[in-house]
Amino acid sequence: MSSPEAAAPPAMAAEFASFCMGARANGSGLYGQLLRENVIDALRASFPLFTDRIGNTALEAAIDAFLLRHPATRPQFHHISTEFLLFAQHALPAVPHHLALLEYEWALLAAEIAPARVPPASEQLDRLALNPTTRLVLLQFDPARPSAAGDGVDRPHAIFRTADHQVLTLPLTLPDCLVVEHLREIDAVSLAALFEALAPHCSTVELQTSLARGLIYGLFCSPPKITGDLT
Amino acid sequence: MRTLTAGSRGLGLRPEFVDTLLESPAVQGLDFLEVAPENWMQIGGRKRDQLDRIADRYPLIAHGLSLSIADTEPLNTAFVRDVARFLDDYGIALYSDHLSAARDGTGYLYDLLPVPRRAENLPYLAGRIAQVQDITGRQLVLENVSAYHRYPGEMPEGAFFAELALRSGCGILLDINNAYVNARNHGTDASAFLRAPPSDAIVYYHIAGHLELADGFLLDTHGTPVADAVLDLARETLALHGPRPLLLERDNHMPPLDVLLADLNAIATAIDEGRHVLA
Repeated sequence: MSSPEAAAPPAMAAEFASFCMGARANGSGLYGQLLRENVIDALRASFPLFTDRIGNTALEAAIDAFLLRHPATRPQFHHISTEFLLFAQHALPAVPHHLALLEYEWALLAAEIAPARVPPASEQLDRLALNPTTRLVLLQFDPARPSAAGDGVDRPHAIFRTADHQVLTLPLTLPDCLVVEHLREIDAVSLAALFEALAPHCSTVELQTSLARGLIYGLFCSPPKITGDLT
Repeated sequence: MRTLTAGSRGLGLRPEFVDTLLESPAVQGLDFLEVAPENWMQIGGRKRDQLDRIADRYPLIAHGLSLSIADTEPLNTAFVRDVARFLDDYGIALYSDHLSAARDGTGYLYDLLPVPRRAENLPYLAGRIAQVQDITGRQLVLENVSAYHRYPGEMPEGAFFAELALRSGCGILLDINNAYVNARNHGTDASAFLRAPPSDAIVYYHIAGHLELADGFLLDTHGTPVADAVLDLARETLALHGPRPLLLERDNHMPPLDVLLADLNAIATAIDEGRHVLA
């Protein structure tokens, strides 16, 4: 076994810190340019609507600030998008619609790559579960026209990945929200128990409609079988 | 399942040609695929499904980007454990990353940054390598990076690598294009770099194209065909150290897979023929 980790030699730490600070602060140096290109490429790939909407000048300024100030803790390159979102939520003086677009596109990405396996549709549905990739968001804009400014009204949507790897954004009705919230609390439930639990809040027809729609689109599914998941 | 030999040839697994690979049986002349664990681990959906199917057809080796073995912060052991789990899950024996850093006291910077090559830094680096090797249960193989910055008074790169391999037991992934790019940009001797590491520490080779700027400066872009001068250096490398698995890196301006495979085959043939002349 290796011995406990020693601290870096102070001179090495000082030299390297100085070099990194130069790259963070100086966008015209070669490493400064390379860092910025990596971030901008990642953001353009993950957030095409946001990067298009915010414009090049504001985007470059945001990336400069991100590199200078944000303590990114996730090593993987594909987490640049998550780190930038965290930075933007706390430190970026963005127009609210820009931030909403950023959060929406991050939720799409998160659903696309969520480690959970989505069970395929089942003929026999004894118990019901929420699609394990589901993220619930409030959107003030129409996801079919995300570049258009919203009307200021929050509307609940579910973003999830289907068993055949499509990422869908589904507007939720009040009964949908009740079913989703119930499934989030108890993981999986029999249909009979679900109807019984939600009977005080909505009618049988409303629940049947919600379940049928959710099952067709894949928001609801059979509970996933326990497997040797990589996660 | 095929196994890697000294004559094996491979490509980095790119999203641009995953579907093409999955449409046909295992391609003749493509002996292995290299994956960046960070781009695939803890990811589900289509990518996970693709990797599972690719792993059924091709031997995989792992070449990381984010280990940051040479930074001056505490080793990110949680990340290393995640990598180890990925390697175990896909039965990947060979794990390489870069002798570079990607993090400072502020956080991750998402690039392969050069660190000062000094004798007094070797024990620290060897200790970090031992930690990684303990966690992964594998030899860590480290690549020489293209470095566009030099710290004053550094050790020669080849001597530094050789000493680090000796102290830590790490393997060396010799990137022949990076050796050429560094030598050209910094006015050093690529042949001297190649001669320094012990042959038995060299695990495999990378070869790639680079971009020459108007002022003659070279950028390691992996976006152009391999330059003749790099092929010459590859012949010299093989004459010195013998054949090893060879991987052609191509990350930008991707040609179709059949063109890339033809390139790989032509490169391997050209190197091998020239090696016999040099030897």
